Amino acid sequence: MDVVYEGIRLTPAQIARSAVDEGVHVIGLSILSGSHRGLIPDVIEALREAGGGDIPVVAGGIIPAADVEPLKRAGVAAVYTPKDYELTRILRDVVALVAERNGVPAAA
Amino acid sequence: VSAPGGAVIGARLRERDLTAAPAALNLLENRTPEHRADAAALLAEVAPERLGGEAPGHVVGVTGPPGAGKSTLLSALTAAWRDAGRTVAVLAVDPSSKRSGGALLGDRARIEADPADRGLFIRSTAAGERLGGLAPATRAAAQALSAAFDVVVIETVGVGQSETDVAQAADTVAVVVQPGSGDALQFLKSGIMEIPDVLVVTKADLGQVAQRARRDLHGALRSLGVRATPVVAVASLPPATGFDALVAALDEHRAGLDLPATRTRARRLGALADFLAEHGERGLRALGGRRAAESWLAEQDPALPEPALVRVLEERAEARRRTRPDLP
Repeated sequence: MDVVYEGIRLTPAQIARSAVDEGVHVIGLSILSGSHRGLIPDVIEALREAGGGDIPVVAGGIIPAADVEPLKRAGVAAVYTPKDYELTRILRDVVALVAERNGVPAAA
Repeated sequence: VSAPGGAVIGARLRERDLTAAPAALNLLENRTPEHRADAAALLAEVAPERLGGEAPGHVVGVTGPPGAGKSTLLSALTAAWRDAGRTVAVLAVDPSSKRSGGALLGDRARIEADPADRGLFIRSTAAGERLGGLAPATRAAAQALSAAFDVVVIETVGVGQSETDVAQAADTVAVVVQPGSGDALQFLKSGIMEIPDVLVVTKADLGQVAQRARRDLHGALRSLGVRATPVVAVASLPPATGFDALVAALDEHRAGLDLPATRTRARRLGALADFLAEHGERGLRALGGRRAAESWLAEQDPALPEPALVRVLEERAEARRRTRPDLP
């Protein structure tokens, strides 16, 4: 798996453009500022405009439980918080998500 | 995700549709057998035969040791090209992990770009299994994108094998040197580094140190008997300076090239590298060795795209095996 690291403090437009240019299979957003309710749906909207509406988005960070459902309704595939510390499980989830979206069976 | 076929994407690139670039790269980077024919179809659409000549884009290799300032330089250089109205694609190559086979590609984060600018395309690529070298997909990508973009940059880290690979794939190679490091001088003198087409000294804002680096490089080039290689000093941080001279030096080198000969050589050497990656030393022995393989390639139509040349080599190996049962 190749990981394209984009750095920090990016605008939704930058994230969307990079994801489309790089042809990624999944986008991981890390957000700790508390502005996830506005910014994450903005990223998903920017992706749609940039022609990357089919790329799944997962989010991680300081995200209260009450915000998880609204984010999922906005199109986020999965949300992880500091309670999710099992890295291998998260990786397996992401691999399974990519496999499902691309119509291929996930390897164990 | 359903994707259009290689021929469709290739035709869009030929018509200089820049939005075809991401799909083209997705296809060329996918090395599964069922995608190879599709990738070959894409490259056939942008081959000299279909274009009526070599692809018009200028393929520029930018290489140098880590920390020399390549990414910062590229931010300013792409801005200079865009200001001049030229479209630019950047292929930023990062090393792959030998252990996991994966890669952490962080270079993109360091090149500044306006997300609304459709004339600038940046793609991170992993070097793959070839230590310090270029992945076959990167060469194919440069060939495909040079049909659509005015400039295609291949950016790699390091001085050594990767630089030789870049020299094969690019029309013009610029080696980036930072003042005070002495690396380039040592490499030039010891012959580890081939003579670049353009030498760039970064951090010209350091003043005297940068001036001395430039003089030292001129001296080293003189002692090697090559006076013609331009040495350009640039300051990449605002206010950026030296970029008009750098753009002019790169253009001048390109103008002096026999482009069909350069590109034909690149395709042939690239095909041989692809064949070797696929069939190894055993395949090379079946061809009768590297020399024999190169002279066989030299007899082929110069306009043939790289995948077609790989097939030519594979057929040659098979034919020789049929008549000579002793071959591996």
